[in-house]
Amino acid sequence: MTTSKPISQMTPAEKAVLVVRMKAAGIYDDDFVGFLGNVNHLLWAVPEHQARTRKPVARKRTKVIA
Amino acid sequence: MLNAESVIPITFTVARGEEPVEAVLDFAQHEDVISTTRWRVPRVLDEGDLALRFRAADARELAMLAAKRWRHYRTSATTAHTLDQLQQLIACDQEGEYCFHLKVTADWFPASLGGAMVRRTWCHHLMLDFMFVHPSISGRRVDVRGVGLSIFQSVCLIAKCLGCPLVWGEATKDSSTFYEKQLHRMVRDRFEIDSDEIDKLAAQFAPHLFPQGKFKLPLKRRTSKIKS
Repeated sequence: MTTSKPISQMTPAEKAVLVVRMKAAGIYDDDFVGFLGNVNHLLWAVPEHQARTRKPVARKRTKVIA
Repeated sequence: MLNAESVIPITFTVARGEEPVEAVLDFAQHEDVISTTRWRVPRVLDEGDLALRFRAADARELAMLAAKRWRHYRTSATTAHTLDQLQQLIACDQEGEYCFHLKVTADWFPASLGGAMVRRTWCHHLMLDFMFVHPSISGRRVDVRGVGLSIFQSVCLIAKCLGCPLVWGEATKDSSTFYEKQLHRMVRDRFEIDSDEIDKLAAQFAPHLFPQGKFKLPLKRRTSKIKS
């Protein structure tokens, strides 16, 4: 909810009226669970990069000793 | 001249404990969206109420998913960083699909308090993809109330500025009660907010833009150049 002037410039009486208005608007008992989302987007939760794997044995180089 | 851009950023009140305090809602920039991926679930919640821990973890996960989706839209150059830019994109291609993020910040909180990812669809509707608050708030480690409600109402205000006739989204099992309370009707897995409800919710958020019940955008301030 917006206000006509900054809270810091309000008198205690104006602040009290604001609290009453905020309570009437349901701000004090806002039961927002913290998140809302389209569950289809959970498909986007797949990892972006392929998991790191060990190098195949065939690709490992052996140290050549001269 | 009417100026929709001067509506956002907008300062509004939320409740911190019993005190009313100010927060600012604005369009998010790329850095703001990425910063939400660094949110962490407070460790204190590991030992407390598990339900609150899961709630905080879900809020964090949705913020990360929104950031991921943002990166996708960013590569296709269909993201808007201001309301003005969004209007320009729509003017260029009226059937284009565009994405924008909203953020809520306050000088008394170190990170963003919450945000939302919204899409403007090809038929000029707004789709609320993700909405989330900081894990410390959703996990009740910080007693701040009204952030989620304000974001929800501000999406309606943006719809009003753009002239979108509908805002819609998907409700989950957990979130459907929130929508039911705000829309005063039963909500299952889908909700639609028509133009009358958009007006009502936008007016609840920004009553100063609705003098005598009619929507009125602030006048644009332009300095005229003096010709020499």
